[in-house]
Amino acid sequence: MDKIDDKISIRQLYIVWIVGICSELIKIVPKYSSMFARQATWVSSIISIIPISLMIFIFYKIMRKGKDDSLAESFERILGSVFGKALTFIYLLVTILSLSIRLRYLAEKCSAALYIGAEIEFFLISTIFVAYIIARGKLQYFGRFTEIIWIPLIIFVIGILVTSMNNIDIKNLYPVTVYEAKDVFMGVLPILSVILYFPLALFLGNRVTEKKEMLKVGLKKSIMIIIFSVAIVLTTIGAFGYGLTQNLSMPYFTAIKNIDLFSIVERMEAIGITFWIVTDFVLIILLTFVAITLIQGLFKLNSQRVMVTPVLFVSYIMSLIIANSIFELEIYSKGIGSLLDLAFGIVIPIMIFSIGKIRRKI
Amino acid sequence: MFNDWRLKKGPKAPKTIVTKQGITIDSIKEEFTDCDDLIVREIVMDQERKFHIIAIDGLINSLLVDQNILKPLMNLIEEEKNYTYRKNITTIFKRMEMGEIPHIEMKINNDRKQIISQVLSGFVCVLDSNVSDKAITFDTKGFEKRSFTEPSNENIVKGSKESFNETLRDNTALLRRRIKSKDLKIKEFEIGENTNTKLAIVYVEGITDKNILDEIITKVKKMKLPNIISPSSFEEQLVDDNYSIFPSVQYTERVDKLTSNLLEGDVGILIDGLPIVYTAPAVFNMLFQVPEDYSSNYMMASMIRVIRYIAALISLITPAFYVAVTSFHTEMLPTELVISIINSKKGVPFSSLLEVLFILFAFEMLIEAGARLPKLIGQTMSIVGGLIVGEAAISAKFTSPAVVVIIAIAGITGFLIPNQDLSNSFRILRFTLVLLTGIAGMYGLAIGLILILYYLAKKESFGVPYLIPFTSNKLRNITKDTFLRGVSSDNQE
Repeated sequence: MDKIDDKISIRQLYIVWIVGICSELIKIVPKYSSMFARQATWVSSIISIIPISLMIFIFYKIMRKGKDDSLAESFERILGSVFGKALTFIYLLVTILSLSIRLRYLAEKCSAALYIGAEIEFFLISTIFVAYIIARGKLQYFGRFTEIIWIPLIIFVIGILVTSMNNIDIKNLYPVTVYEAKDVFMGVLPILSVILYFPLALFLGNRVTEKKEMLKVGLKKSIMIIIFSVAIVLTTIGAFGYGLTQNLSMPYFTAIKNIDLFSIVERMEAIGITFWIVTDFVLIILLTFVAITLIQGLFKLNSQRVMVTPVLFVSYIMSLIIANSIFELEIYSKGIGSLLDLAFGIVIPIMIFSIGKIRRKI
Repeated sequence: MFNDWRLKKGPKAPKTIVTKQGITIDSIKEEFTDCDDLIVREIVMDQERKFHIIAIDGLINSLLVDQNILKPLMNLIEEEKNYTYRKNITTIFKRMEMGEIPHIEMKINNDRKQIISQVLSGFVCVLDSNVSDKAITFDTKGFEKRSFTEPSNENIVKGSKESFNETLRDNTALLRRRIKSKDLKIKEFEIGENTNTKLAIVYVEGITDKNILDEIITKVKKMKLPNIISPSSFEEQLVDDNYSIFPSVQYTERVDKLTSNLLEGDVGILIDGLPIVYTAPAVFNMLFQVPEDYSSNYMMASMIRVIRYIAALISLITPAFYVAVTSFHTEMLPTELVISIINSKKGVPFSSLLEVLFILFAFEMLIEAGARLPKLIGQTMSIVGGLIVGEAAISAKFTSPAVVVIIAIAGITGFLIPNQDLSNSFRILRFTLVLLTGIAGMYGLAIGLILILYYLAKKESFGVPYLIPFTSNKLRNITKDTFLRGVSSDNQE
């Protein structure tokens, strides 16, 4: 493997992943998890730490042997060159598909929530423009950029939880009994769909330092996912109850709108919207970086930068044709999208891990 | 005077072609053709033997020259005259070379260019008509200079009031008095093809990062500047990213600030003729710190620092935020506030975007007018411009009072940023964000902030990431001497 100077630390990679999935958590947890777990969604959020930690452990095992390898190279090591490359290619398609969906989602959300009736092309093109600028730069700049957002994001999520305490009704979160156990476990599944972005981020593994810390840092950072997830559940389901939450288009932002702290602090959704757009951007840029890295690895290109334009162009076209409206997009996300997320985020990695164990490659 | 184009367009001064060879009085005089301030004192030993003392009027201490150079030289000549048998050999020059003219800084030179440079810097040059390949120079600087005064741009309540002046040597001496260590290194260079300005790079050996130091030295050596009269030309050649609107170097006129920066590993650059000292690298966090922070109670200092950061953010986004919420997202404002804004905008024919841009421009013009005019007129101008014209503009329905308040908040909070260069960059970015929000509301603001943040994340100052230590991701590093000052024992590693 050629030596790459443009590297980020494993801690930065985790931060990029968590910041990126933050808007996914906001979308998925209150609406989809509560379909199964109802008032016990917060318990689902807490116990999701077990499968998340397990998956981090599995990926750690898969990647442990190759110090400077990305996940693609680990696949090749475990499955052999042909199958490894074929699987990487499939992941590339999944990445571009995810990128297109994320782009469309952002555009649709802006059009529906902020600028009712505005053309989605405007949001698509402006998002792609920003992604283009950042993806043509170094990965380490993107890593630093995300680190800057990290602490304010934590403060924001916790701050929103604290300031919305007034609106939270404990009855919306109780009772939780053993009879809900099955529903609680089912409620974990939608949360796990965010795991998909973790293997995708690990395709940047050859550009990551301190990889031996992957497990330790990963376990620490996964606690943050749980904190975010629980905070989002308490803010939304705690305030509206699971029934109303499922019917709201953006429950988290509705909850932020309702915050009124002694009539002094109110209307904080402006900050919420800014963070929401920023976290969406982070995910889009991460996926762009992953896509260009995968293409470079598969086609042995000298430079990644040349692939930024084609990748974003294809994603733009796909984002336009993938669905006719936000409703179609949501149906897709709920159905095929979730299955794909679980398949590529959990099932296939577990299979690779098993094959690796059998073939003694890990 | 400061414009390069004038130099290019104007008739070029014919270059003196030096025809005389060696280091003789004629060749030196030829170099100084049409320089009426050149002093040439001739001392005749006999018909064949002459000594010349060369200096520039106004740059030397005449008394020092008379007593320490001229008088001992005369004595030497007198002594030599008594030994008639050796008057044709170069004994006097040799005795001078051996230090018989007692002076702290004496140099023997065989490079004419160097001799000229030294004479122009306040040295006295002694030439012997019998010796045509070298001359002796003595440092006798004695020109008028500004005394050390209180810093004019960096006010201080508690702490040292010493500030730099325009003389390089005085400034290095001030520094030496502060850091009494052999590890304080001072490396001198000459830059400016026309001005031959002296520049000193100062650092503390063992503390300063050698890579940063080497990079600065290499850049200074490579600099191709016709002159160094305006600091910006020097700054632009020193930094990597000279199109950046964010400062990559800091400057200070305070000795204590430079001392503290040097002891933290920075490199200082002193330039003869400038009462400020550059320090590099400069990272974002440092631009919010002032020495006063370390003179006051840590709690107070921390509170003021947090206020500075908040003020910077307010200064940057308030006008843009106003445009976004009034033009695109009125639902974000409390109903009473919306009604109040609508009432204040009644009769104003412009959109919020145009109003904000108009008042921002007016504010910038006021600042510029206030800065350029004489102090008294400047103050009057601010009052007339700010109060009378502002009030009249509101009454005439050119703008609404809310916009004036918003721009005033942005302007005042901008002045809380201690570094003027950073404050200026925020002034430019304010316009950019206003335009972006004028196009796309909160979404435009988010895009603008993402791009600004990304740019800051990308920027480096001499290889040091600009956003260090905020990108270190350890809460202790992030809070340590950044937003909070911390007690002095905590600041020590």
